Amino acid sequence: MITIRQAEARDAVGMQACNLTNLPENYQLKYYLYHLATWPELSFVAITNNRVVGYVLGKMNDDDPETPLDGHITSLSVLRSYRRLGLAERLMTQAQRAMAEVFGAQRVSLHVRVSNVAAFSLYKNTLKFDIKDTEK
Amino acid sequence: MEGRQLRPIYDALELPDTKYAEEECEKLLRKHPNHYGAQSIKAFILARSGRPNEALLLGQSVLNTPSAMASAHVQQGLSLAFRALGRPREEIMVYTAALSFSPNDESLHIKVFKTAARNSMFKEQHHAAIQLSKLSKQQKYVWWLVVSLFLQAKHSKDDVAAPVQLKLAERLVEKAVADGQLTSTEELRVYLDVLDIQDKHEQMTEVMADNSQLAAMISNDPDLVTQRINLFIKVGDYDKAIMAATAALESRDNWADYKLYIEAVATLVGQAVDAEAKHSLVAGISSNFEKWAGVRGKARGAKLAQVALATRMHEAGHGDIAGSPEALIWDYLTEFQQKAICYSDIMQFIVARREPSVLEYHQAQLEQRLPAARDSATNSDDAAQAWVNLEKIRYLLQALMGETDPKAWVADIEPLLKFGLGSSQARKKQPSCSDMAFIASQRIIQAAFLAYSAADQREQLHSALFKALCVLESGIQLNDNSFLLKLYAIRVYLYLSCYERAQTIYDTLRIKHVQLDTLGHLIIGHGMALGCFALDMELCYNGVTFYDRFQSKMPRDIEAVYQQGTYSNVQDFLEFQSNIVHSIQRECTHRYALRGEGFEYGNAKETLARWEEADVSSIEHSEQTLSALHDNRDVSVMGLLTPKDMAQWDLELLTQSTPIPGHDFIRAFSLVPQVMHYLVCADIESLQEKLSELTLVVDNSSCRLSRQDVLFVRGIIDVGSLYIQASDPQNEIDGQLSRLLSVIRTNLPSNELDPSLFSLSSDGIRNLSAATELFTYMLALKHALLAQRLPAANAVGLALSQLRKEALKSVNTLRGWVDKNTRALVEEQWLAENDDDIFADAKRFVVGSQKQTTSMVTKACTTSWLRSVKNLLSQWEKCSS
Repeated sequence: MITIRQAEARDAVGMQACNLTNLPENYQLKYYLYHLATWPELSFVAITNNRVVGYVLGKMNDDDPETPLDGHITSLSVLRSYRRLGLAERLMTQAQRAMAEVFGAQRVSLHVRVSNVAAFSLYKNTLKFDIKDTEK
Repeated sequence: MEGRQLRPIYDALELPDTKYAEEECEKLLRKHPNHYGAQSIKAFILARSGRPNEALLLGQSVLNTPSAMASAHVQQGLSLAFRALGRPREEIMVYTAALSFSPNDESLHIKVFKTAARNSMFKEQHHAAIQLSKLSKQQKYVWWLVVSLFLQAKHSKDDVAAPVQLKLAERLVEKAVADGQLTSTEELRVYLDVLDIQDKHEQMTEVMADNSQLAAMISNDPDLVTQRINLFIKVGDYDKAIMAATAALESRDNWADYKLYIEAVATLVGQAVDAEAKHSLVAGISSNFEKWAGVRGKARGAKLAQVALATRMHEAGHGDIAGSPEALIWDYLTEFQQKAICYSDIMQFIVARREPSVLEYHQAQLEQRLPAARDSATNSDDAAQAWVNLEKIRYLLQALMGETDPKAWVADIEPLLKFGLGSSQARKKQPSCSDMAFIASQRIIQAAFLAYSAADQREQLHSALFKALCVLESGIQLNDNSFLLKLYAIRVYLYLSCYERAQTIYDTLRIKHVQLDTLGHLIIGHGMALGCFALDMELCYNGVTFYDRFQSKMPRDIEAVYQQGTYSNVQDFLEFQSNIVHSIQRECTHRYALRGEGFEYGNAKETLARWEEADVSSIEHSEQTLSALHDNRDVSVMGLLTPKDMAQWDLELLTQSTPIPGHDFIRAFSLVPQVMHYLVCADIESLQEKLSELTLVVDNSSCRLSRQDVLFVRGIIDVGSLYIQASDPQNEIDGQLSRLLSVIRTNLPSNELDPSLFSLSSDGIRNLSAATELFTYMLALKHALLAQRLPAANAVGLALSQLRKEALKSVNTLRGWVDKNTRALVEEQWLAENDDDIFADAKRFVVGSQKQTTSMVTKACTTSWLRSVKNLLSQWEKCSS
C-alpha cells in the first residue's frame, strides 16, 4: 500500500535512512532541505505505513543563465524489501514529469555507478536514458 | 575612516582568529573608547567565544545609544552579535534603529522580515511584510504578507484578530488570482491553506474545480489531485469524490487515492436506503478494482484495495457485500506472496478481524499452504520469499490467538534456522534468509519471555536470550546488511548488560545526522548505565553537535523558502525545526552529556569549579516546556511482526533493558546538576527547593526511571540532605552518612560470595555503575564541605576513603573473576545439554552448526562485561578523596 507524494521536511529523516542504508553517496540533512526549499516539486517519497521506503531527490541545473534549464536527479533510493515493485520507475517518472511541467526542462541527467547493474538497467532500458559520458 | 580603523579586526575574523580579532578590538578601544563599531564587533566576538553575558551587556549598551546606530558597521556587528546570542528581538531592534535613519531601505526591511521568519515571530514578520509590500511593487512581498498573515493567525491565541488576518490574506490572494499573479503550485497551496484553516471547504472545491482557471496547475500536481478528492469528501460531495478518485486511479496507483475512494463509497453505502443501491455502489467500485487489477503495474494496489474495501464494508456492518475479507486476503497472498512487501501490506487486514472463527479460517488456509511453501523454498528467491511471508503470518496468528505455550513458539524452528543460517542460499546472502533468521530469533525471544516471565526465572530467561543472540549474530555474520537483525542484537546484548558489543554493532548501522534524534535512543545512555562512560559521551557529543548545528543552520533554510518562493514549505520547515529543537531525545542527550561530565574525574578545584559554573538555569524545565516536547523517537524500526497494541507479544517493549527515558528522566537529570550547583555554592534555600522537586519525581508512583537511576537519584537526594545537615556544625551526621554509604556498599560486588553469571548479566554491573557514580558525587560533597570549612568534611572524607578501599578490593576481585570464569560459565550454563530445555532445538543448532559464531558471541559477552568492570575499577582508582 504505497503512496507516492511530494517530499516534505519531515520526510528528511526517512530519506536519510534510505540513503544511508542503500548508497555510498551520503548527504547531510541540510542538503535534503536545500533541495526541498529550492525545488520542492522535484522530490518525492514513497510511503507505506508512515515509513519512507523510497525517495527521489531532484534539482534543476540553473547555474548558467545562458543555457536552457536541465533537470538533474541527485539521488534515488528504495529500501531492499520494497524493490521489484516498480517504485523506482514511478519515482523517477514523477520527478521527470515535474521537471518538464513546472520548470520546462528539456533534458534530465543523473550519475549512476557502472557496477550498479539494476539501476543502470532501469535508467537505460526502462527509462530510456542515453549514456553521455563515463567518469573514471 | 571607520572602515579603515576596523579593517584589522575584520581581517582577523576572516582568518578566522577570534583571539587576535579581540586583541585588535581592545587596541582600537584603548585609543577610542567610544568607538561603537569596535564595541559592536567586540560584542560579536564575545558571543562567539562563549561569553554570552558580557556580549549581551555590551551589545545592549551600544543598542541603547541611538546615535551609534547610524553606522553600517555598528548595525552589522550588533546584528551578528545578537544572532550569535540567539536574541532575535534585539537583532530586530538593531534593524529598526537603522531604519530610523533610512526608512526606505528595502534591504533592512528584508532583514527584519527574515529575522522574524527564522524565529517564528509572526507579528514582526507580518509588519515587515506590510512595509515591504508598501515600499516595493514586487509580487513576492504580497505572498510574504499572505504567508505572514496565515502564520500569525494560525499561531495566535487571539480569536478576534485571527479571522480578520485570514480574511485579509484571502483577499490578497483573490486579487493575485484576478490579476493573473498566482503562477505557481506553491502559491496555490498557500491559497488552499488559507481557505482550509477557515474551513472554507466549499470554496476550496471551487478553486480546485475542473473548470477553474487553476485546473491545469492542479491536474499536474499529484498531491493536489489527492487533496481534491479529500476535499470532496469533507464537503460531503461523495459522488464527485468518487469521480475524482476514479479519474486519478486510471492513471496512477496511489494508495492514498484508493483509501479515499473506498471511504467515499463506504459513506454512500452507509447512507443508501435499500440493498439494491448498496450493491450497485459496491459493484461499481469493485469492477474498477478488477479492471485495474489486470493492468501491469497496478495489480497489487488494486487487489489490496479489494481487501481494504471488503474489510471496510465488514467494519461498517455490511457483511460480505464486497466479498469475504478473509478469502480476498488469501487471494492476494496467492498472487503476491513472493513479494517482500506482502506481509506489511496484508498484516493490518488480518489484524482488523480477530474473531476466533476468522482466525481459524486463516489458520486452516495457512496449514494448507505452509508445507508446500517450505518444501519449495530452495527452488528460487520468489519461493523462499513466499515461505517467509507465510511464516510471518504464522507468527502473527499465534499471537492473535493468544498462544502462551512457549513450546508452541519454538516448535518447528529447526527448518527456519537451517534455511536462514545453514543453507546455500544463506551463504549467498539471499535476503529471504536474513528474514528467516529474523523470524527464528523472534520466536526464540518470544518463547523466552513467555516461559520465564516470573522474577525467579530471570536466569533461565537470560540463557534463552543468549541463544537468540547466537542466531542473530549468525545472521549478521552471513549478511552484514541486515538492519533488523542488528537492532535486535543490540537490544539483547544490552539486556544481558553487554555494552561494548552492542555499541560496535550500532556503529555499523551508520546512524548519523538527524537519525540521532530518531534512533539515538537505541544506544545513548546505555554506556553510562554499564560503566562505559567514555564511549557513551562520544555518542552524546555527536548528538549535541548535531542538534547545535541544526539549530544554527535550519533557520537559513527557512529564509531560503521565502527567497525561493516555495511557500508551502514554510509551515513544514517550521514544524520540522520545532520538532527537532524541542525534541525529547535532544533533552535526554543533553542530560546524558551533563551526567557524563559529572562523572568525569577531576581534582577538588576542578570538581568544585565545574559545579559552580554549571549553567543550571538553561536546563530547567517547567511542566509547560516538558509537555511541548516532541517525541521523534522511532520504535517502529524494530519491525514488529505483531500489532503494537499486544503488549505481551511486543518484542520491542519486552527487550527494553531499561525504560526509554522520557519526562521523568529529563526532570530528574535537570535537577541533579542544580542540586550539586547549589550545594557547592552553599545556597541552602535553593538546594532544599530542588531536593523537594527531585523527591517528587522519584516518589511518583508512575515514575519511569530505571531501578538504578532511581537508586542514584535517591542517593543524590541523600547527598543534598547530608550537606544541609552538615552545614550546621551542631548537627550530627553519622547516621545519615552511614545510610548513604550503605547504599553504595550494598551495590558493590560482594567479597564473600562468588558472583554468578546471572548477577553479572542482570543488575550486577548496572548497580555497580550507579554506586560508582554516586560515590563520585559524594566526593564532590566532600570537596564542598572542605572548601566551606565545615567540620563534617573530615568525617565524610575518612568514610569515603574507607569505602573506596573496600570498593577497589571488591571490584578488582570481580574483575579477576569475570576474566577467569565467565567464558566457562556461559558454556556450562547457557549452552550445556539439558533435556528439559524448551530451546533444545535452537541450542543444538547453534552449538552444532554455528560453533564459530557461538564462540564469538560468548567472547563478545565476556569481553563486554570485562570492559565494563575494568572501566568502573579505573573510575574507583581515579577517585581518590
